[in-house]
Amino acid sequence: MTEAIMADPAISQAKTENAWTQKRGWAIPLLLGVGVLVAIVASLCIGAYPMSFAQAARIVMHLAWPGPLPLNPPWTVKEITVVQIIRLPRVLLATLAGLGIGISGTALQGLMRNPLVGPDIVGVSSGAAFGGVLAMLWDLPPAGIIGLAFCGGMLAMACTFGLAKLSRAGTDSMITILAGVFVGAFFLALIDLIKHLANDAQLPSMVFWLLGTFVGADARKVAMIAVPTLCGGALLMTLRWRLNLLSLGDLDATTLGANVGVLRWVILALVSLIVASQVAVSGMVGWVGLVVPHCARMLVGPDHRRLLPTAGLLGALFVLGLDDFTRAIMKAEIPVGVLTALIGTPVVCFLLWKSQGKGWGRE
Amino acid sequence: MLRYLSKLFQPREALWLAPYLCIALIALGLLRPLPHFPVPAHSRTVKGSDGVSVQVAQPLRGIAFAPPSVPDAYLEDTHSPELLVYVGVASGRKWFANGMMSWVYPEVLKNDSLWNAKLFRSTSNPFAEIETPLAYDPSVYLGCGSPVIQMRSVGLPVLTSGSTCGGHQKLLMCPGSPVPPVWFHYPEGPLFIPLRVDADLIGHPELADPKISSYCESLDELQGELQPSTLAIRPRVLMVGEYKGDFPRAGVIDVTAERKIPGDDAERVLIMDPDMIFINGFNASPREFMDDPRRQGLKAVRDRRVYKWAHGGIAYKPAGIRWLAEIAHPERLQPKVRQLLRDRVVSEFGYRLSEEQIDLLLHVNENSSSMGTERFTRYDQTTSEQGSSK
Repeated sequence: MTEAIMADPAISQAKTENAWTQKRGWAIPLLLGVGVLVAIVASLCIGAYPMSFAQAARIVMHLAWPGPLPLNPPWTVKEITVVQIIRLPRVLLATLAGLGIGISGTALQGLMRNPLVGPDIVGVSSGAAFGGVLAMLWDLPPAGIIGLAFCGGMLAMACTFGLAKLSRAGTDSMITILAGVFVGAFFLALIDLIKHLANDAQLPSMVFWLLGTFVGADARKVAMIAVPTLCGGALLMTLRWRLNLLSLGDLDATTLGANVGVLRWVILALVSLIVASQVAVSGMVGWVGLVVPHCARMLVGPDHRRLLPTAGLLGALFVLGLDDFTRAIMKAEIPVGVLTALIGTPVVCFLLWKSQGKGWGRE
Repeated sequence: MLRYLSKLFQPREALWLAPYLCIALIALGLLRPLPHFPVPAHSRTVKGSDGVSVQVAQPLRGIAFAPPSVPDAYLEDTHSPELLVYVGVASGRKWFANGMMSWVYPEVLKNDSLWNAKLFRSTSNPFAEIETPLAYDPSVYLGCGSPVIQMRSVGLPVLTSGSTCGGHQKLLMCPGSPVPPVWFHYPEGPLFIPLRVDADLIGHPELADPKISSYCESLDELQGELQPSTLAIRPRVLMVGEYKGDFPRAGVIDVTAERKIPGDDAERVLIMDPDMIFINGFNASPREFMDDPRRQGLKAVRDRRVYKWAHGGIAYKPAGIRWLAEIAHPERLQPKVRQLLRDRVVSEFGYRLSEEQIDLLLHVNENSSSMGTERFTRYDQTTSEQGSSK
C-alpha cells in the first residue's frame, strides 16, 4: 500500500515541490522584496522630468533614512520636488493598493477554501465603493470617505455571510460566492443610483474614481492607505499559521484548537479594512485579488506562511507595473482598474484551463 | 503572543517582513517637510489676477505655462512669443491651432520644443502634467487652478493672469460701465485685469493702456450706434454652455443668472422659452439643435434664432459684442463685424485675416441656417461695402 502511494507520480511531484519550497523558499521573498524595491525606484524614473535611477535611489534613500536631509544635497530642488511630491505618492499608492489586494484575496481564498474568491467576488469591493460614493455625494472629507467605505465593505461582507447562513449553507463556499455575487450586484445598483443623484460637479470625479485610478495621489492619500494596509497586513501576517488551519476545514481547525468563529470574523474585518482603504483612495481595482493569489501559489505553494507575503509582494509588483505601463508606454491616464480587468480575466481563464477545473468547484 | 513573536523574528520568517518595513519607511519619508525653491537674488514683484504677488527673477529667462495652458490671451496681450519657453501639451496645441493667434504667430504653433511633442500626455492629471513645465527653467510660470496651488506650495513662482484661466475673465469693463451680476464673484473686478498683469509681467505695463482705450472706444462707438437705453424690445437670450456674453452692452436680456446651463436640459429651456439661443461648445451645432424634436416648441427654434456662439478668441471683445448686438438688433446696426475684425488684427498685429479665417471666427458655416446671419457672409459684406462706398 505504502509503495503504491509512493509510486503515485502526483504525490511524488508534490513531495519534490515541497522539498524545493523548503530549501529554496527563502530566496523567493528575497527576490520579490528586492524586486518591489527596485520597481519602486525604477517607477520614480518614469515621467516627463528626466531622472536617473541612481538619483532617484539616492533621494529615496535619504527620504526613508531617519535623520535630517543633507545641507548640501546632491540633487536639485526640482529633482526632489518631482520625487517627493509628484511621483513617490503615486508609486507608493499603487504599491500599497496592490499589496493590500494581494493579501486580502489570498486571505479570503484561504478562509473560504475556494480559489474563486476575491474581494470583488464576495461583494466587499462593491460595498466599499458604495460607501465611498455616498461620502462623495455628501461632500465628506477624506476621513469620511474611508470611514464610509469601510462601513460599506463590512456591511457587504456581513450581508454576504448572512445570506449564506440564511440559506443554511453554513460555510459552503459556493453558496457564499453566490451570495457575494448577489450582494455585489445590489451594491452596484446602489452605486448607479448615487451616480444618478450626483450633480454635474460630482459625477465625473465619481465615475473616474470608480474605474480605479491613482491620479491625484498625494501624501494624505498614501497615509490613508498605508496605515490600514500595513497594520492590517501585519495582523494578517501574524494569523497566517491560523489560516493554514482554517484551510483544512472548520472541523479540523476546531479539533486543532482554533476558535473558528472568532478567527473568521477577525480575518474578514481586517480584509474589509484593507480593501476599504484601497477603494477609498483609488477606486475599484478588480481582479488583482483573484489572480495574484494563484500566481503566488504557483511560486511558493499553498502554505499561507509564505503564500500571504508572496501574494502581497506580487500584487504590489503587478499593480505598480500596470500603473507604470499606463504612464510610460501608453502615455495616457487609462484607469488602472480597466487594465487589471483586461489582463486579469484572460489570466483567470488560462488558469482555469490549465488546472482543468481541479480545485475550482465544490469537490 | 510571545510564541508568535518568537516565530516572527526567526531569520527566515523575518525576511518576509523586510520589504514591508522598507515600504513603510519610504512612505514615512513623505512626512518630511516639502522642498522649497529659493527666492531669486534679483527679482521684480508682479501681482497676479488673484492678488498674489510673485517674485519674477530678473533678467527674465522666459515664461512657461503651468497646465492648463491658454496662450492665446497672453500672445494677444503682450505680442511677445519670443519670451515663451514652454506652452503646453499636444492637446493644448490642437486647441491653439484653431485660434487666431496660431495664424498671427505660426512659429509658436510650429515650434515642437514649446509643446513638448515627444512627451505627449493625453491626460487631465495636473500632477503628471506639472512635471513637464518643471523640466524648463523659466523666471515665472503662468497658470490657474489646482496646479497653481501645488506649484506655489513648493515656492515656484506661479502667476495667475486670469487670461490663462479661460475667456470668462476677459470681460471688458471700461470706466463707468455697469458690472453685470454674473461677474460679481471676481471681487477685485478692476479694469482689464489679464491685460494689465500680462503687460506688467513682460516689464512693459504701459502696453495695457492703449489697448484698453482702443477697446473702450470701440465699445463706445457701438453704444452710440445701438443706443441701448432707447431700445423698445430687448430679446431674451439663453446661453447654453459654460460662459456668458456681455449681454447688457449688446442690448439683450439674459434669461438666467446661472453660469452654466446644460444643453440637454430640454424642459428648463422650454419653460424659459427665450427669443434667442446661443450654443457654446466645440462641437455645438445650431442645425442639430433646431432639428431636435424636443425643441420644436421653442420660440427661438420656430424663428430659427439659434446660433453657435462666436469663437472664443473674439467672443468677449468688441468684435464679439458687436456680433451679438448685430444679430439681436440688425435694424440699428450696419454690418461691420468682418471689417472690425480685419482692421483690428491688421492694426494690432500687422496681420491680414483671410476671408476663410474670418468665416471660422464668426462660425459663418455653422450659423448659415440661422436667421439674420447673412450679414456676416462674405458676399453680403462685400455688397454692403460696395454699397456704402457708392
